[in-house]
Amino acid sequence: MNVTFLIQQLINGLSRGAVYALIAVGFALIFSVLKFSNFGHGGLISVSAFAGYFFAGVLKFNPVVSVILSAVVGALLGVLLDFIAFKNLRKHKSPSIYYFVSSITAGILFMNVLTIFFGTTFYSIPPFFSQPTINLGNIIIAKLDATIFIVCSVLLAAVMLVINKTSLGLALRAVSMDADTAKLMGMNSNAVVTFTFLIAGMLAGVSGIFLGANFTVDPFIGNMVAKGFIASVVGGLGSLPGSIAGALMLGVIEVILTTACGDIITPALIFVFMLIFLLIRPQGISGKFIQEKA
Amino acid sequence: MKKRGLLAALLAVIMILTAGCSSEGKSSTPVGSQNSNAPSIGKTSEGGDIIIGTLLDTSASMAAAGKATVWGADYAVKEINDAGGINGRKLKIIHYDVKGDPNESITAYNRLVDQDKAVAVVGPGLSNIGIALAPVAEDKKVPIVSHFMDERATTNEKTKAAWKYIYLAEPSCNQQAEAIAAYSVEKLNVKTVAILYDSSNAYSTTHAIPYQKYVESKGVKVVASESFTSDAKDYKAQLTKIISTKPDAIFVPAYAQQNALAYKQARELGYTGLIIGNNTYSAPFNTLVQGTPISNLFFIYNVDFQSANTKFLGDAYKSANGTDPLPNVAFGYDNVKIIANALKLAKNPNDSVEVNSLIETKTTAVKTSSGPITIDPTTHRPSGMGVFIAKWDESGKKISLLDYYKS
Amino acid sequence: MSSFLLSLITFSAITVIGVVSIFPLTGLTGLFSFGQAAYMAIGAYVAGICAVQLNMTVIPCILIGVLTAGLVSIIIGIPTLKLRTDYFALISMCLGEAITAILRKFSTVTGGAGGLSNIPNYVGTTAIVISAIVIIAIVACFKNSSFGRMSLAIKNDELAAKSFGINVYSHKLKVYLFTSMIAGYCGGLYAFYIRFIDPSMFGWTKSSEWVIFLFFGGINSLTGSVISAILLSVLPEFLRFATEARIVMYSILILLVINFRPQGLLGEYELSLESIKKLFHKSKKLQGGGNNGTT
Repeated sequence: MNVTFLIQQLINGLSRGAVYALIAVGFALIFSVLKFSNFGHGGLISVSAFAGYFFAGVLKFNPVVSVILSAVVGALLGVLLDFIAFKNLRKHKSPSIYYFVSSITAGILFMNVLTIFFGTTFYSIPPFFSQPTINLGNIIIAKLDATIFIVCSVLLAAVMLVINKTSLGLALRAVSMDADTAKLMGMNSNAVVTFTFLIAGMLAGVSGIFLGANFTVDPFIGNMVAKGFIASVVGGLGSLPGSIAGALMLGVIEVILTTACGDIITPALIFVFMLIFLLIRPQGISGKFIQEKA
Repeated sequence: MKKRGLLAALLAVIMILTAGCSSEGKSSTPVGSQNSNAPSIGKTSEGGDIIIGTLLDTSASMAAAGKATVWGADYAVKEINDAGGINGRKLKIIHYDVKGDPNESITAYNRLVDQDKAVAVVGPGLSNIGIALAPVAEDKKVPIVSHFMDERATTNEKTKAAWKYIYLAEPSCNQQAEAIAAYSVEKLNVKTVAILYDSSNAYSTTHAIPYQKYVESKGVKVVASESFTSDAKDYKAQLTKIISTKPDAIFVPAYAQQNALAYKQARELGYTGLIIGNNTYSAPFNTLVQGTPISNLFFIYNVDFQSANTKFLGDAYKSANGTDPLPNVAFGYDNVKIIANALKLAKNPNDSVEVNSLIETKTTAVKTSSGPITIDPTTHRPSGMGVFIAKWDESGKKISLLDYYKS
Repeated sequence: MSSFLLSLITFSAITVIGVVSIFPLTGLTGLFSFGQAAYMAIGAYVAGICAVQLNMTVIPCILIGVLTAGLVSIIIGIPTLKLRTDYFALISMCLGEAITAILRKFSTVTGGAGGLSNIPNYVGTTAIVISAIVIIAIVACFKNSSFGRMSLAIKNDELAAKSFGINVYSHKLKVYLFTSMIAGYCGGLYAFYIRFIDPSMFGWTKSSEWVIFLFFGGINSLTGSVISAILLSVLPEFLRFATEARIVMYSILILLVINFRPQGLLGEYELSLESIKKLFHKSKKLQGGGNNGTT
């Protein structure tokens, strides 16, 4: 068990974490603004992965163009998701649990529609880098993982900028605190919420193509959203930077447990870890959380 | 009273469903009750269509394989009907999607038997479903032919005899794993090996275990054994562990997508040694690893779509679908051919019991796309059916066959 | 009766037991759990292992399965029920994964990913259907009792319930225990019917399926849960004409109901206990009815 080995495993952990972080950002955005866990995000990721395949694999656009186009597709899908799964719930003022259930169903729907059209074979996105790794002696860093990490941070910074420094972000924050009062103040709450889904969808779009590039494209790739959920909770529900930190931590812990105890029993250990963590620090890493009533 | 009406309507539906529940009356009716069932002696008159069915996953995670099997089966049926059918009678095939779910499979199997009067069934190549269906098939007496490679699907572990109404039409995972284990030891001179398998997938574990047993019995040391689960996509932690033990070879028996990821990530992490695989390394593996040169990789190859026996099938699939065929196309085709062979020999092809005994005893050198298949009546698995050991060329365009191992 | 209808009825009944089992937890008390299928797994595996490895007979096997599920639920419930609702949901999902991991790890006992096979066929359709009816009755009693009303109070406003003197934490624990034992029982029945179980049958997708069915029927209506469980179990068979689009149509249907009729199919509507008894008698009459039925 030498130092190189440990450093490599740390990098592996951060790589995993970067992937989770990419998912977590979009997930956490919806949670912080709309206060529910959007499992439909997984459906968006799956469809975006296929979109990414279409742009990069079929049309052979270069990676940057493909990512941007996938982001656009994701954004549109986000709006679609809102329309079919959540808009009516807002009208009826349903409790947040309904959003959750509706989101799971919508996610299943998207993924199964993909199976109908694309389920006959597997697809892969042409590699973004001709030399996939950076080799520092015996330590290997995959360029795609590093890119995911950078992209994720940039996106996070951009989203935080919008939320904290723009008037649109102000509207978002107002609606997240109280949609009705925001309406009373003259804001079009519905439009603001739809806009949130647009942004979350865009994030899903980027996640989708990167996940597809890293792990090959299949309709159920969106099921990784569960990791985004865990990462958001560990990071502190409602905090976007927290969700990134949570994701990285989750990735590293998974790798540590896999290295030490083997992969099979790791989910059981993660359960124990999560339990202890949530009991000791329910406000998550960031220390911020959405208050339930009292 | 709209709600009451709705409720009444739903109750009516339920009662209609239960109304069919006639007098059988036996209080414990196990799956596919033994008493109330009669083998499907045809209500179809002489000269009517002969009905067979398929149970395949065409909508869940194994949809790609399932759809390929459906295509192969349909092709076989068309070929048979074009050539005059079964002694002049047309063969009709009904497909049911089972979502990879054992409950659905049992229900769909019963539906094929009871409602559609199928006389034989092509099953899904999923071992857990095979194991769940084996006792049901014995109760309902309609044979199932498939490619579930787990030997427990064809062998009753308690009695050690074969389940009577279920058949495997390709070498079992034990046989395949041993074949490539033998190759690893004899031709690749492997002295230390590591195994990376899918712990959530019986298909993978039932390869890993016999491989390990075989190589260890020949003095090879298994220096590491790591696993991942089907839904995970990143195996770098496990691979880093494995690579640190410096094995001559890593054995990775999983499904195509995971094999591709494992291969890519192993090479990325700097592993240049041998990677050894099971029978899911043919297409689409090569497209999935695009960008990573394929070398030092040896795997099991069941279906050579370039061979004389199989080329027609592969070409037909490619021109119809535009993509390369999966091995499952051949499996679907072969299963139907085996069933058709028995149907042709049967005096009454609507008698599933007779058809079953013919599958059991008269599947001898049946011409399929995998060459002649003979099923051993004692094991219900093929005898003398071997597997190729193959490798890809560097660009991933062509497979070359290196060896052939028979069990 | 055709085996096809029998299997449909049996699997629907199993789903009914599952959905009804989470009714007190999610419908009445408002606790969202994605781990209930894990208790079904515990019940199924413990009962199955007792039969396969220890050669015990059906009743002790199922009993031990149920008690084990109950024991585990207490051990898990004590720390997790202290968490707030969405954390509880998350931890329950992790629980599901944890149980699956344990089942795979101890493969010499459980068969691992390969599953536990050759479980004796102790349980038939009638036993399962009768169990379903009994459990519905028990849960109905629960709902109508003061215990059930306390649950509703907690769901609607936990703080207010506390201020009325309800020991919320211990109540939640009791409900969780009750729910999990029913799920364990469901598992035991399932194992002895289908004779083969493997860890993939009890994942969080199964738990979420139950939750979705509950919402479809209306979280406040036990009758709704039952009807929706039966309907949605049977529906895929009737949608077979759509072949691949089956699951899609099914999801669309559920989305439509949740979106446009969020109170669920049956809303607040509930059959009273008398009506349930009447229904029970009616269908028993049909079952026993003459030998004139053709299959």
